[in-house]
This record gives sequence, C-alpha cells and structure tokens, in this order.
Amino acid sequence: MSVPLTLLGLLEREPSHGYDLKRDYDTWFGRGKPLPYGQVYATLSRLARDGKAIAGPAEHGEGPDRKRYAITEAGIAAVEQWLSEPAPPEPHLQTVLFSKVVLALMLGRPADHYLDTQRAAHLQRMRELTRLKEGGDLMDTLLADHGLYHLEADLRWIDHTAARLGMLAQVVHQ
Amino acid sequence: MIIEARNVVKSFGQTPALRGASIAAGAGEIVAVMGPSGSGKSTLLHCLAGILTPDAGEVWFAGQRLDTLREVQRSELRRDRFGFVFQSGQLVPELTAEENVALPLLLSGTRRAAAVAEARAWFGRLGLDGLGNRRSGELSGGQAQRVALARGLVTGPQVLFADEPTGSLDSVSGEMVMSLMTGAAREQGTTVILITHDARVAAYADREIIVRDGTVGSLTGATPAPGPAR
Amino acid sequence: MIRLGLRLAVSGGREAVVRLIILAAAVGLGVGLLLTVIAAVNAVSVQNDRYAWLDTGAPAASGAAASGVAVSGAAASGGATSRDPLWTLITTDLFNEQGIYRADVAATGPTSPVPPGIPRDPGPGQYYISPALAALLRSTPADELADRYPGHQTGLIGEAGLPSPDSLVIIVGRSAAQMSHLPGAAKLTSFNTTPPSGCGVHSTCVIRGGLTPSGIDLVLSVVALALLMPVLIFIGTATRLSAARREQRFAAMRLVGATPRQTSVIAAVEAAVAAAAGMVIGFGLFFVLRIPLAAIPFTGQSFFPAELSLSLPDILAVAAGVPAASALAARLALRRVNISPLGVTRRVTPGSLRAWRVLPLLVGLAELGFVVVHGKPASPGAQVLVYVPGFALIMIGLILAGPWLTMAGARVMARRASRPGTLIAARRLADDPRAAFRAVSGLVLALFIFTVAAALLATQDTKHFTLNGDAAANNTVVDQFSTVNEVSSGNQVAVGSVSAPSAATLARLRQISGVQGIVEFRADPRLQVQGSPGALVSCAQLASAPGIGRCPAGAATAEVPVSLVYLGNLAETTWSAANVPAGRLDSLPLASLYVATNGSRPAVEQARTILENAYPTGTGSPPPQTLGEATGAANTANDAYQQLADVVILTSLTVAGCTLATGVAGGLADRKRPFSLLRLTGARLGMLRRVVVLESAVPLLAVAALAIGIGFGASAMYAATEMQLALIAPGAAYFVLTAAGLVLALLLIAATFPLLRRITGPETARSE
Repeated sequence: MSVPLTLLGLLEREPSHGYDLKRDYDTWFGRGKPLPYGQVYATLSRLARDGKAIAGPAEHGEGPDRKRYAITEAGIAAVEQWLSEPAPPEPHLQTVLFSKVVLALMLGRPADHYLDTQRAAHLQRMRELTRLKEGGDLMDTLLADHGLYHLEADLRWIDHTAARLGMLAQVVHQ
Repeated sequence: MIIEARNVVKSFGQTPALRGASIAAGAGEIVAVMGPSGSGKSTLLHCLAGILTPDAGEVWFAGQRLDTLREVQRSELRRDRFGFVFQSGQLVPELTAEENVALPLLLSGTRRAAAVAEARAWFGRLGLDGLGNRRSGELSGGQAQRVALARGLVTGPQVLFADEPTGSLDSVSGEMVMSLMTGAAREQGTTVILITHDARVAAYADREIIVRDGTVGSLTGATPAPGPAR
Repeated sequence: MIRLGLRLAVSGGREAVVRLIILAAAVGLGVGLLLTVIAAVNAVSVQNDRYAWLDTGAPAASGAAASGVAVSGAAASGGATSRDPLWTLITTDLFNEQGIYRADVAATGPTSPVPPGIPRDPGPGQYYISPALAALLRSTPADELADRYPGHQTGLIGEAGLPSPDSLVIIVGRSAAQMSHLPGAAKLTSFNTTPPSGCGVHSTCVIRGGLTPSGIDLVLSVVALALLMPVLIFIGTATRLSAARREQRFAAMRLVGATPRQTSVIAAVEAAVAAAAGMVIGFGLFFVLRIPLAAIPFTGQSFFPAELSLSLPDILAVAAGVPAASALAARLALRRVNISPLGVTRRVTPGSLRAWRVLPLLVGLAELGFVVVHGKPASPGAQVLVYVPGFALIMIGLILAGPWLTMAGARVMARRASRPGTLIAARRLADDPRAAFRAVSGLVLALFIFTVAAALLATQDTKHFTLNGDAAANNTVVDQFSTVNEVSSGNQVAVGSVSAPSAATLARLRQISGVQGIVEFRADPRLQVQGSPGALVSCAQLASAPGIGRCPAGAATAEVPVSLVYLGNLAETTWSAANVPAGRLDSLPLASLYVATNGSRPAVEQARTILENAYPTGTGSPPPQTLGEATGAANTANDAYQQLADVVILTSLTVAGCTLATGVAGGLADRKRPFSLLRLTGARLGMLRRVVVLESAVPLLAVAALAIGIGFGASAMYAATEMQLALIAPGAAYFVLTAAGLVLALLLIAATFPLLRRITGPETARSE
C-alpha cells in the first residue's frame, strides 16, 4: 500500500503535523478505513530516522506528538523516484496507481507522463504473457489470459484517467 | 527502417487529421499503433501505404520516396509489396474466397490456374479448407478476416497493413486471426503495421506507438528500442 | 484483366446476373428502337423514291406547267436525243377513299422508257396492275371499278414500281393517237428516280398524302430524338442500379493494387458485356418485329418488309457504336472511384450541384425564342438544323436541370418542414438529388414530349377541315374540270374546255340507284363569289341536289363558287340569284359537275366510273370525288402526324414506366439500411412511408410541372414560327392522360409500401 511514500508525498506539499497528514490521507486515500494515529506517527518516525523527513521542535499543546514534520531532499528524491518508476504490472494495482496520480496532480507533476510510463510497462508485460500463450499448453494459456484480462482492465482505467486529468486536477487543487 | 513517415501532415477539408506525425518500422517488426478514436491512426496508415498523399512531410519505403510516386506505381506497390487487412468490407462480393485471395496475383498478370493454386495453399495454413468456393457473404466474420489475411499475405509482401483487423470479431476469433497473422508475418519476415484500440491485440506486436491528436506522442514511440535478437 | 472483367460481369452471383439482365434489356430496347428508326428512315426514303416515277412531269414548286420534259432528278441518261419518247399521263383516282395511281402510256418506239416494275410497256388494250389493285378488281363489281380501265390485265407491277404493298397502281396501255388527245399527256424520255422537291399537300403534284418529302427530315429527326432520349435515360438508370455495390467492389480492387487503368478496363468489359447482350436482344427484336412493323402505316402507307432494312454501314455503326458508347459511359462513371481506393469506407458528400445545370435548358428556350424574333430559315435543311438542336437542348436541359431543381425544392422544403418525416425527406433529397431525380427523369421527359405533341397536334388540327355536318353534302360527287391554282396574287382559274355531258352520260348517271340529282356548274370567268371564282347554276338542277344549297325563291339561276370544297353548312346556304337567264347557261363552258348521291359505295363508285370515262382526268386535276373525300384528302397529312405522334407518345411513356420501375426498385435497395436504422431508433413505419412518398413525389411533381410548362412554351414558339399559327390548348384527353400518368407513377411508388415493412425489418440493420 506504500503508506510511507504516500504520507511523504503529502508532506512534500508543505511542512505539516501528523494530524493534518492523517486527515488528508483519510480524505483522499482512506476509502472508509482511516489510518490509525499510531501508524501515522510510527511511519513518520521511521521516515525521520531514514532521513527522508525531519521533525521540527516539539510544540506546546496536548498530545504526545505535536511536532511539525518537514520533507528533506532525500525525501523529495524518494517521492520522485516512486512516482516516476512504474509499479510492477500486477493485477489490483488501482489503489497504488490512484495514489500516484492524485499525488502527482497535487504536487504539480506531469501525471500524464507517469500514466504513459505505466501503460508501456503494462503492455510490455502483456506482450510477455502473449508470447507465453503461443508456446504453452492449455493451462498456461488460461493463466496467461487471466493475467491479460486484468492488465487490460488496468489499462482501461489508465486511459480513462488520462482522459480526465484536467477535471481531476481541478478537484485536487480546491 | 523499411517504412517510415517523417512529419506527415494531412487535412481533410478544414479538419486536420495528422499534424506532423513520424513513425518508422524495420524489416520484420510488428508495430501496434494505438490511440483514441479520431486521433488520425487510420490516416497515418493510409499515408504510409501510399493510399493517401500527405499535404506535407515524407513517406519512405525501402529507401525510396513513396509519396511522390504516381498513382500507377503506387497501385503496383500495393499489389506486389504491401498487404492489407481492414476491419470489414474489403473482399469483392462477386468473387469466391479463392478468387479474392488470388486477386493480387491476377492483377499482376499471373495465369488464373497458378494464382488460384497459390491461393489454395494459404487456405490450408489458415484453416479455411473447403471454403474456397464460397462468396464473402457466406462466410462468418472470422472466416472472412482469415480470407482477407490470406489475400494480404499471398504475394509475400514486405509490409502488411492491418486496420482494426479484429474489430468486428469476438475474442476467440480475434485471437485466432492475430495469432495466425503474427505467426505468418514472423515466418516471412513481413513488417506489420497494426492499428488497434484493443490492448490484447496490441500485445501481439513487438512494440506500440500512441497517436494523439495527429501526432505520435509515446515514449516508446518512433524508433524501436533495441530488443532481444530474434 | 478482360477475363477478370468477364468473370465479374457474368458469374458474380444472383444480384450481378439480375443487374446484367436488366441492363441488357434496356440496351436491347434502345438498340431495337434505334435500328427501327434507322430502318424507318431508310424505308421512307426508299418509299419516297418509289413515288418519284409517279411524279414525273409534275410541276415544280414555282408553278410552271411542265410539258414533255422530265423534271429534276430524272436520270441524266444523255439518251434524251436517242430514245423514243413515251406518251405518259399520270393521274390519281379514288375508290372507296383509297387513292389509285393511274398511268396511261403509249410507246412510240422500241426504245421507249419503261416504267419501273414492269417488263415492257403495255400495248393498247393491256394494263399492268399492282397486286393490291388486282385483288380489289376481283372483289368489286365491274361497273364500280374495272370499267374505268380499258383492256385486260397483262401482268402485275413489281415492287420496284410500287411505293407500298398496299399501293393501288395501274399502268394502262394506249395507242399514241389516243394519248395525243388526252389533256395533259406528255412525251417523256425517262422517269424520275428521286422525288421532286415541289410536291406538297397543296401543290398540284399527283402524289399527296402521307409525309411530304420536304418535311420528312425534320419530323424524323424529332421523332428519333423523342424516342431515343427516354431509352438513353432508361439505360442510364439501369446502369446505376447497385452503384454503391460496384463502387465497393472497385474500391476493394484498387486497395489490393489494381491500377486505375485496370479498373477502367474491367468496368468497360462489364459494360460491354451488357451492351453486347443488349445488342443481340436489340437486333433480335428488330428482325422479329420487322415484318409486323412494316405493316403499320406510319406514313399513311405500309412498307415492304424488305424496305425496312439496314444497310451494312448502319449495322456496323450500331454494332460498333453501342458497346463503344457503353464502355465510354462506364469509364466516365468510374472517374470518382479512380481517385480513391478507400471508396465507400470514406464517403465524401457528392459535390453540390451548381446552377449552371439550368443553362442548357435556358439556351434551348432562348434559341427557339431567337427564331421567333428573327423568323424561321427558308430551306428545310436549315430548319432541321435550327429546330432539332433547340428541342434537343431543351430535353437534355430538363434532364440536367432536374437534380438542381430537386435540390432547390428540397432546401425550401427543409426550411419549412415542421414534421420529422418532411425534414428527413427534405434532407435526403438535398443530400443526393441526382438519385432521387433519376427514377422520374424518364417520366418527366415523356411528359414534355406528350405536351409538345398534343399541343402541336391540336394547333395543327385547326387546319383540319371538318366535314360538313350534312351528309348529303358530303356524299355529293364533284368532277371539277377547271383547275384552281393557288398563287400569291389570288386564285386563278384556268378553265378547261369541256363540253356539257352527253345525253347518254346523263342517262347512265341517272340510272344509278342512289343518284338523286345532277347539277352543272357553268363557268363565268368574271364572276367572283365569296372571294373565289364563281359559276352559274340552273335552279331547276340545284333543286335536285338540296345538299349543296338552294336558290332564292323564284330565281332561275344562281351564283355559286366554283369549288364547294372546304365550305361548310352548304345545305343551309341560299345562294344569291344571278341575273343570267337559264337558257344562256348552255352556251357557257362547264366548270364542274356535281352529282348528288345517297353516299352508298356502289352509287359513288359507279358515278365516278361513268364520270371518268366521260371526262378523262388530266394531270394535276383531282379525280371525281365526293366533297367528303376532298376534305378528307386535305387531312391526310394531319392524320399521319397524329399517328406518328401516337407511336412516339406510347413508346416514350412505356419506356418512362420502365425507368420509373427500375428507379423505384433501386431506391428500395438503397433505402434498406438507413430506414432499418431509423425504425430501430423508433421511427414508425407510417412516417417512413411518408418519407418515401415525399422523396419521390417532390421531384416528380416539381419537374413535371416545369416540363409541362416548358412543353407548352416550346410548342408555342415552334407553332408561331414553323406553322405560323397561334398555339391551341390540347383537348381534355391530354389533361386527363397526364393526370392519370402522374397518378399511376405515384401508385407505383406506393406499391413499394408492403415491401418496405419487410425489408426494413430488424435483421437488415445487422452490421455487414
């Protein structure tokens, strides 16, 4: 689910409290399952430990962690790498793809570019599966077809989303 | 590069279809041309095949300018060095399946008996035995497309142009046609330019290019990436 | 390539074969008509030539009386000096309203010319006779016919001397002494082989009736045009059947690499196959129908079947020209596909029609108008050159302008359409007006022809001399001994020197049962009655023939016109009294003799026989005839035109009907897919029917109205210049027939409604 990278991406917009990050995550990516606070702060700590984020001075107030976190150069690089690298083409990638697209829009990155890259990767995988079909027996063919159909579904979503990027960008930037 | 389009521009009346599209394919390559409808894919294919003359830009085939040839020369190219498989409506309804396949040979002057014999050879390869004397109206969609495929390959062309060849077919027939097409093409070293919106059909190709709004705009687009030797 | 074309044309499946058959039938019809027209032209020419020898010695148009000289066209034998001349007198006679041509001849030596058709000149007491007249002689009592001819039959006149198998011709042999006493007899050294140019209905030529030689070229050109254009349209419509299918076929071939030239060759072969089949049908039709056709008296007289023939150049021209023309037409029609192998896959809207299409029509009308302003040309040849192109332009112009008018009308209809059916029909019409007009084009042309023919005939009819209402007048036999010459300064009377009838003649006349009275018209050169030369009659005699008028009470003599022909209401007429005593009449020369009969054939013919034997007819004079026959003779030209017009109208209407049927059938096929889709999206069948009606009716009615209007206009201009008459509207029959024709056409369109439901069923909308 790459929660750390998603939080890191949200953090890249501006330095934020963990509370704000959780709220935004739940809005955009939670889909009914809010992130537990514990997971949020644990992730943020780990990110800070890995040097991708840095914790600001603790602030007065209620609750244990009212620290404001900010992203580091390493963190920005990590987000960039994650966005621009295609995910391994597997079925059920929608949530990951969705996150990447929304974040790209939020951060003003070229979302269509990323979609194109993903599409190319998908097609490459589909080519491999198609080659498999030509040589293999019936079971191999059936399995390959299964993979092909799911990849095709993903590709359809990719095309659909690519066509709606303008609309999505408007919504995201409200 | 055996066939190439360089910055081709083509408009129909006021409507621009291609705005500087470039594409190249090497010998024996199978290239899928994808893109949203209305993006100019078919127009690009027609320009590559010499059916349409671009308003600007160049089309090269086998080291020669194609778009400046006279209509007669282009017709001969289409007859001898190119093959065509379109989505529908490409067979001559008055001829039998055999004669349709033999048509390019007949047009180039081959004697009827020899042409039909060559046509029949393809029937076996494509699973069309016994259908030689049927007319196109009596064939199923898949059979008709295989007949069209046989016709496209009977002259041993250097380039096979396919425009949505499985568009009217169900998935099983479509797969059969694609499998046969790519198999025969690889066997003969034929370059295939394949227009499709269907990713599973495009998956039969070696690479794909995306045409958007009259231009070719894909990362993996114009020239082939160095791939595993075949 | 040719083999491929043959293969496609002949064994391309059921639809291709049906198309081929229809096209071949259309071409066959056209070729048959063309051959018939050519043969008719040949036949009329031959027939005219055969009349020629009977016109030898006829006066030329200038009115100069010929005597003893063979006029224009006679074989320049050069033997004018070395041949013995032949005494010749050629006259006309009547029997039962049929004309008989009689030649009295007497050879003066062994080298005297011999009339065509007989082996030698008949001697005194012999005669040669045509087969038709021989049959008539056998079946008629002698005192009605045979008594006119002295001698006995020596043989039959062969074809060379007979204009027609029905011709009644007799060549009577006389002695030279007898001939020298016959008025008008002349010595000829040869016979005409071509007809003199001066023979018309009103001239003193022997030959009247049927079409005049001078008018023939004009009439036949117009007839040929009026017959051939509907056929050409029919052929065009048949060619366009399944044009979309042909386009698809050729586009597929072009895609696969056929060069433009190869597709042209294939198209030409397809067309040539149909044309060749059509030619065979056409030639077959012609040869089969030749004999029945020859028997129809188009020119008033039937033809010998051998005359209705084609010369070798004719045959070669048609045999080569028809396939060549069809191949050329196919080549032109294919030009659009030659440009794009994508053909139907990327259909471009056909270019919109330009207004120039109306131009030929306007030019044709303007040309006729020009003639109205400047007067018609003098020579018949020049008239042909003027009128025929004018009418041709108008007819072609109607066909060219039709689609443009349809489009214009459709646009108006679209703007004002309130219901969906109207809108759809209007848009479909505006999108492809050519196809819509094609089906009705034949009918429109036929209407134009019909209008022109009816209007001109009605106008010509005013020259129709009506018979007297009174039968008694019509049954009066008149033997006119004075010749009335129509010259520009007024009618002149040349009085023949004829003595009064002998008592024996009068007694024989009175003996005929059915003869009621005899009136002698005595000539008075200074007398003018009603603007014509006058004569005097004894009132006592006039009383015995009440059909031709009465004397005022108490008068002894009366003044009457010499010729009562063409006068009406004779029975009611009271002539004015003459102040000449009855006794003086006997000293005046006899101008004409009127014999009142009861009109029965024996009475009329017996009277005629007796009169002819008493007063042999001179050259140029009419034979004894009843007033009814005299009037009828003047009408023969009109009747011939009427007959010809009937043939033309019937043929063009039939062909137009075929065109309409073909067009409607083709339209059905074209409508299959779009209408099925419309039905699927919820259009009701009733609305689709309305669309069909509107699509067909709008072009039909719009252009029909135009064709009729222009027909009247063109006729008016032609009548004003050529016939020198104001146009008369045709009778009710014309309007009824026109309306009936239009209604029939609409019914034919409506007849497709039951089929419409079936062919637009859902299964048609499947993707092909």
